[in-house]
Amino acid sequence: MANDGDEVGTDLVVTQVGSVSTRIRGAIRYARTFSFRSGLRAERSETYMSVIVGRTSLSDAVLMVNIGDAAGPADAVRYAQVKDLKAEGFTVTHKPSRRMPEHAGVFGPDPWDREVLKKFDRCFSEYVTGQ
Amino acid sequence: MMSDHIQLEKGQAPWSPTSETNTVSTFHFFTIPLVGLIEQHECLYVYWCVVGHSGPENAWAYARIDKAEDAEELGQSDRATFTERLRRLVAGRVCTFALASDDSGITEWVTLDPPASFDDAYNRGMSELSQKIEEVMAEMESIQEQFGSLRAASTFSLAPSSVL
Repeated sequence: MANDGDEVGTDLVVTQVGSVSTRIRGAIRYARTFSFRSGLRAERSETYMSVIVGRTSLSDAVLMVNIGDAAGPADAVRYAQVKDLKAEGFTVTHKPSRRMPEHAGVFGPDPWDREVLKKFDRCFSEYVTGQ
Repeated sequence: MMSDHIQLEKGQAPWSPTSETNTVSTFHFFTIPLVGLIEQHECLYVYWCVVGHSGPENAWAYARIDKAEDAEELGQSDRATFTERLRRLVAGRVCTFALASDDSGITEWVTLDPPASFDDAYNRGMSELSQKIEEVMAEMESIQEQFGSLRAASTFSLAPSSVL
């Protein structure tokens, strides 16, 4: 297990867990809206964005984050290259726990304002949804 | 004040549900604390995110435990044992179920009579919250009916007696 605070290798991918809502009219699914945390709230003492080290499947990622809940159609994951996060000014460090050794934190400039939020979102290029 | 019922305040973060809550331990974290142990007025409560772990809206449950040592094994649990240990820890205890959002913090809650469990907290919580909301709506309708005549009267203007 990596040590808390070690930087995650730039050759790695990280996974973020979120959700998706799909609009359905009749048998046609015509719009999807993804929802992923992109901003930190200083007033809630949020200091970094959690991700999973590695390209983790939707079902595994949901089991890692959620307690007693399996992946469903409303779940989604997205992937980013650590090197892209670093190029945008973020630092990605291991934050392992007993329950989640793959846990890492993405630290950004302070404050994590709208510009930082957009930069963070830009780093994620691939989205996967539940069935 | 000793109580089985945790105190919650609207607008507070679910993992710090009043301004007088102390964090004892956080057992699971993903950008926000998702499972942990908190203390209020010398009482200990385990909280856990029930649904919406990574979403802007989520549901939470709180159960009082007797001593911090009872929750210690959660901190030592890996993924394979964590959920089962949490399930055992909160089984049959008074449980408070709350809804929260990233923007508004805690918004609504209801206390579930024991035996509440890890597995039924969501269904019971949502069912009892719906019932609570229906009761409030029914009460509002009753008040509106009761004061219907007053509402009608309020459409008339009052004039100073000297004018009459």
